[in-house]
Amino acid sequence: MSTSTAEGVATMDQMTKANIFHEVLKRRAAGENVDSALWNDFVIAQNDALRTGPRVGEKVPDFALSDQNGQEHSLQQLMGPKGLLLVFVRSADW
Amino acid sequence: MRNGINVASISYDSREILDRFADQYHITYPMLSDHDSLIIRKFGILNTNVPPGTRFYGIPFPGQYLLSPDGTVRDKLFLPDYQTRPTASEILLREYGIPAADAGVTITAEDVQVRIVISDKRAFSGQRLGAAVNFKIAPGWHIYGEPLPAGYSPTSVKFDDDLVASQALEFPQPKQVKFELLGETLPVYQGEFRATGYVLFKQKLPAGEQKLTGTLNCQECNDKICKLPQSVRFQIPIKIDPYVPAAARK
Repeated sequence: MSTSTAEGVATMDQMTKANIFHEVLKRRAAGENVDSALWNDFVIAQNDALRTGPRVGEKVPDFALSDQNGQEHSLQQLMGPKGLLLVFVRSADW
Repeated sequence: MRNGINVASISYDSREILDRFADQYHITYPMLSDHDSLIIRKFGILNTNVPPGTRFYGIPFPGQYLLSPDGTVRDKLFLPDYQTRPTASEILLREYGIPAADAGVTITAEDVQVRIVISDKRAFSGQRLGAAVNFKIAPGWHIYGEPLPAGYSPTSVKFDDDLVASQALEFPQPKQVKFELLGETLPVYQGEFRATGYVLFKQKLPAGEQKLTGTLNCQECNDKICKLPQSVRFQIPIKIDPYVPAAARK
């Protein structure tokens, strides 16, 4: 994790990142090994220009989404008496 | 809900995928489906490094927000890892010191009671869990912070490195107290306080019931005498889950 780069500032160009992604996905699909150098680049590429959204003290956007049971929840409905821990994850599938 | 705080997760997965995941891992909180990543974009955290056209396009930079009831961000935690699991969080541990009920151990060392907790009873290889150490020191006694002159032992909690790749625990600022009889001013902890941080588990750990072990070091003194420095071993049971690749789950 780079603490010296400002939020949202890229250290790799878009084409390099795309190439890294495609190479890793290609090898994975073919059942081939991904060497540690490529994997390292992959982790850096994934996290480049990291943006973390609303800052402490700011309000988050309103929204309404359905859950795993098809039930819709608004932000207000999700709230507990003391608040909400809202977790953004990449995927539950991989 | 923990301490009046609800939990919800958001991802670009479909309802079907989330339903299966929630069943498999016994998750009872809402797992919200942001299938076109509209909310991910609205929050400004779409991962724009992922090439469009790949199945991963639409993922966010993973992280957590602790929100007050009016929707204001109170705290947030974003880590560039890639094995994030929607589980009890480091933020809750940092704020409240008490996570999953029995993912911890209490050590009573004479006049100091120490409770060491981690944020979940289960972890994947490579996962980071929150860690907290709650100290309760009997009145009249104190233990030491740093920096210390020679002859005194500071307080530390260190997890062994068989399961743990890296760790950090942040202690609060100690109080500088002048000890007349010793003629010294020393950094001390008294009463109740908490150190918080994390443990990062190693990759490729054997799955199954394991023990997260470590050592607590401290030296108890009052304003007249010091006891010998103590080194107390502890262990916390933890279940290391095998990482199941998506293909194998289908």
